[in-house]
Parts: sequence; structure tokens; C-alpha cells
Amino acid sequence: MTGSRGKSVFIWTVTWFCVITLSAPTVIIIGASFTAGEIIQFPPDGLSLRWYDALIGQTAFTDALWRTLYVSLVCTAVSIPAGVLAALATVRYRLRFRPAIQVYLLLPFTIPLVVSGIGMMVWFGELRILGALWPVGVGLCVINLPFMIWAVSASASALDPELENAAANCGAGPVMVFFTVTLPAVTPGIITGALLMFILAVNEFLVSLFLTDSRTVTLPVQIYNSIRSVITPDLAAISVVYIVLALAAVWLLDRLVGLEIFLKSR
Amino acid sequence: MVDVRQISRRFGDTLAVDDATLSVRRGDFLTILGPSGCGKTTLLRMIAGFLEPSGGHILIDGKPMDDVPAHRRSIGMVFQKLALFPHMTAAQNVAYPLKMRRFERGEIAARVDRFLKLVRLDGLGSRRPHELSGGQQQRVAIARALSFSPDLLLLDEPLSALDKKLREEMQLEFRRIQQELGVTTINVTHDQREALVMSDQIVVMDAGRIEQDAAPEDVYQNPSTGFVARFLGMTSVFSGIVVSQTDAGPTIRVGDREMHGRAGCAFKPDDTVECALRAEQIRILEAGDDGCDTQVVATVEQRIFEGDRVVYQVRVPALADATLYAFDHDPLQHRRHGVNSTITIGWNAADLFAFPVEPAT
Ligand SMILES: Nc1ncnc2c1ncn2[C@@H]1O[C@H](COP(=O)(O)OP(=O)(O)OP(=O)(O)O)[C@@H](O)[C@H]1O
Ligand SMILES: [Mg+2]
Repeated sequence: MTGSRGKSVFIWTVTWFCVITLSAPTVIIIGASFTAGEIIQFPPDGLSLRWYDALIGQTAFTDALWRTLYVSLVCTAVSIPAGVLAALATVRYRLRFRPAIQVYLLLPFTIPLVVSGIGMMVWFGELRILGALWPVGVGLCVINLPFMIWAVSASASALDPELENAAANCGAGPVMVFFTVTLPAVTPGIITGALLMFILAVNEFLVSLFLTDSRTVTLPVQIYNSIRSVITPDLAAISVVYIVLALAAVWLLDRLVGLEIFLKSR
Repeated sequence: MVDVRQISRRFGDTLAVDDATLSVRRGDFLTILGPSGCGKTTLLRMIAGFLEPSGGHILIDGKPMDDVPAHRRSIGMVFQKLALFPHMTAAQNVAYPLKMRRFERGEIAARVDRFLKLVRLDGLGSRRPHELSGGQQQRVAIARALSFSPDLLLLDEPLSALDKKLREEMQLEFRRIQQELGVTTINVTHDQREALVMSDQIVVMDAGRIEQDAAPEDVYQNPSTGFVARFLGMTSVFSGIVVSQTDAGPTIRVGDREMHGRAGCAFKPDDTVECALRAEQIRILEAGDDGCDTQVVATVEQRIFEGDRVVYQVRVPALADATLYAFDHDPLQHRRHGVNSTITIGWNAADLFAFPVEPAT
């Protein structure tokens, strides 16, 4: 009796500790962003939207936000065909050197981001595309692609190969089999992977730092630049924009595939 | 209509199908019957075009299928695990082969209706497979395989996952649909009852080889090998030695008894043979009963009550302690024989088959 009560007290203590430590920074930032004062503080010094207003006035931030969204879309758009084909190839076909290919595709995980960043900076420089915005998206896609492959592989390995035989038996040629059976079966994985890729690209700082310059700076880099001068509550406001983006992605994921599927596929 | 000529398939060291030859007439229902792992699915997949044979040819309507990919063969298949498309409704599943084969839109709608009705699923067309019961899913798979009027229907143990009652209903249903549409069908099963009930022709397979290819009655009454005899029905098998051979059949010595039998081939004296007796052909004799060619005294070892009949497992000292099975089809009317009691059993010479001893495999 007392034992089980002690246990539940313990479990609840741990749970609340985790909930509070995980959410405290978010709560503090959200609170601080609504301050009416001049410095970031919690609890906020009065309530106002003045820092959001200030944010909209600063083209440095708004331009960086649009560039970030553009880069993230490029990254997601490139990752879908690349990730789907790579995942299907390694899961569904008896490739030669399959283990080697799988390890190769996971390489971006094992290389420190600084190294990837420098490598891509040098290489893009050679190709004379360093100043453009879209290569940043491609670069972010390269370093995060394993997430996409991972998500699609999870649903591809759940696909019964007999379904593809059944489709062929129904008269579908290989291309039709792919579009009518294989692709729908891995769609939950693609959606999951695409949202992950998008969020990761929105947040990626280190590699973006190497690949952008003053004309193509993206939001994480812009935030970094501004904390090097004065820290004002508009940083808290831009952080809230991030939080809203992430929540929107999670909401979208739930609407499209259901969160249980997302959590189960991990 | 379908000709399978000396087809083989090897997986590494195992020869899953070994030199199989069979043919099906248009409109017939053929069943491939054999124990688990004997190569039935492998044979079917080669006919469907999912697997390349290692040797031999398949002809459909006289045309060799060697270079025809699966999606260009006019074959409908019901898979062992059904393989319904989970992201489509029942009606979309049935419409899928029609769309792939570019039927007109009006025709597709008409056929989907017609085939859902044929398998008695009208009204359930808008459900996804997981919203249907096992038997209903089964019927969606059948409708999908039939909707485009294939030349040939392949069934890979589609009924094996169902309970006995539903399975027996579906067997008759299959037969009804098959005869209604007149579609040539190859069915695969390891259920002898299913094979006997449904088929025009039965092919018995063992370890990749075809043992017998004949009508159901023939396979049951004139098995060509000991394997076939043992596989169908409840059969007692014991070995003996041929004493003499006449046109009527061999005389065989088993233990201290000599008896007449029947055989598919001629034996020489001193050949070792296997004798097979079907349980329903062994009679349990009361005192004074006469008229069996062979009579022996046996000890009851086990009495198995199966509801509609009782199976007696008996030991016969005179036949070198052979174990035989006999049925009592009317246990209420007959005397009950307890374990260890002694009974007299008998059978006719025509019911004792003799086979050459199979080479050890
Ligand atoms: N892809 C494969 N690779 C290797 N061996 C295989 C493969 N498919 C089948 N086999 C082997 O070939 C033999 C025949 O298999 P098959 O699936 O045709 O049996 P089956 O008669 O359909 O059995 P069941 O009644 O259990 O379905 C088996 O010994 C099996 O292990
Ligand atoms: Mg099988």
C-alpha cells in the first residue's frame, strides 16, 4: 500500500521535473517576448507586442525568415525524391554491397557539422555557386538526408512485397506498380521525413553559417549575428516565431499521418 | 489451355519443383495437392510469372510464356495472404485490374457492381480491407482476381486461414462461381477434402515431383504410389513380400498370413511391397459374419470418438503387429469395443493396394 504510494509519488516527481525542465525555456522565452521593457527578463516587465512590432520593422529579420523558408523548401523538395529512391533501393531490392551502401548513406551523421560545412563551402566555391541561395538548401538536404531515408525505410519495410506482385498480376507495369502501390504505402514515411527535413533545415545553424554571406543570410545565422551586438527582446519574439513554426509542423503531421504512426515508426 | 512442360525451379541446393509436367483443359478446375513445402506455391508463381523457371516451359493457349512478364499475362490470382491493397476500398480493389487494363469507365463501374454482387458483397464496396471480416476480404480478393475476365485463375491456398465451417462454405461458393463463369482454374491446397470436393482434376505433389495426375475419384480409388495412398484418406500401411503374381493381382505374405491384393503394376515373387488399406474398407465383423476375402483377429489399442463416427486403432498380431485403422460409421447401433478387447476385422482383396517400396529420400 505505502509502497505503491511511494512509487507513484516518485513517478510523479520525476514526470513533473522532466515536464518543467523541458518546457521552462520555452515558457520563459514566450513570456519574455511579450515584455514592454527594454531587456529580456522573466517575468516580463508589463505586457505588450512592441517587440513583435519591432521585428516586423526590421527587414534584416523578415528577409532572413523568407530566405530560411525558401532554403527549407528547397531542402525538403530535393530530399523527397532522393530519400525515397535511396530508401526503396536499400530496403526493397537485393542490391549488391547493400550494407556498404547503407553505411555510406548514413555518413552525414558521423561527420561533424563543422567539417561538412567547410567541405561544402569549398566545393560550392569551386562550382561557383557559393553566393546563391538554393545551394544552401541542397547542402542542408545532404547533411540531414539520413532522417528522410530512415523515415521512408520504416514504412517501406512494412510494405508486403506480395502487394507489388498482386499489382503486376492485375496488369500494372513496373511504373504503374510504383505509383499506385509502392508510393502510397510509403507516403506516411515521406510526410514524416519531409516535415523532419523542413524543421531541421529551418533550425540548421552551423552549416548555414558557412554557406551564406551577408546577402543570403538565413534566420539562425541572423540571430547569431544580432546576439553578438545587443541582446534585445526582439530575439525572444523571433524565438516564438520558431516555436510556432515547430508547433505548426507537429500539428500538420498529426493531421496528415497521425502522431501515433509518427511515434511508432521511430 | 495451360501446358506446363518439364518445369523445374532450384533455390540454391533445393530443387523446389522437379521436372513437373501437367496440363489443364479450358474451363476445368485443377487442384495441386501436396504437403507443406512440396513446391506448390513455387509452381504457381512460375505460372503467374513472378518467378523464372530454372528449366522447362509454360504455354498458355499454345503460346510460350518464357518472355511474357507477369503484367502481360491474362491471369487472375488469389494470394495465400490475399494481398489486398490496404489504401483502397473493396470497390477500388476490384476496379484496379480494370483500370490497369484500360477498360472504359462505364464498363468498370458495371463490372465492379457485378462482381461484388457475385461474391455477395454488394453494399460493402466502400469499406477498406481492414474493415472487413476474413471471409469478406477473401471474397474481395476473389472478385479482384475475376473482374477482368482472366483466361486463367490461380488460387494459392486462399481458404487456409478460415475456420472449418466458413472454409467449407467458401469451397462450394468457389465452385459455384467458377462454374458460372467457366474460368479455367488452378488451385493449390494441402487439404485433401478441399481437393476432392472442388476439383475436376487433382495433381498430387511430393518433394517437388508430381506423383499422380487424375480425376478425384481415380486419385482416391486408384492411387498410383504409396505416398498418394497415404496422403488421401485415413490409410493403414504395412509392408509385405510378394509370393506370386497373377493377372488378378499379387499374393502377398504379411507376417504369417498370405492374402490377395490389387496393384498398379506387376511384381515378381520376393519383391518387397507396401500394402495400403483405407479405413472405410475395413469391416468390423461380428461372430458369424462372413464374406470378406481376408479376416484377421485384432486387439483394440485406441477408440477415438469423432462425433459422426468412431475410429478404432487396432493391432494385428498375425500381420507382424501392424497397426490398422477402421471406422464405425454408426456407433449408436453397434457394439462398443473397449480398449484391449479382441475383435475380428476383414476386407476384400480388391481393397488392398500394393505398391513398390519407395526409394528412401
Ligand atoms: N525464395 C526462396 N528461396 C529459397 N528457398 C525457397 C524459396 N521459396 C521456396 N523455397 C523452398 O522451396 C520449397 C518449396 O516451397 P513452396 O513455397 O513452393 O512450398 P509449398 O508447397 O507452397 O508449401 P506450403 O503448403 O507450406 O505453402 C521449400 O522447401 C522452400 O523452403
Ligand atoms: Mg505455399
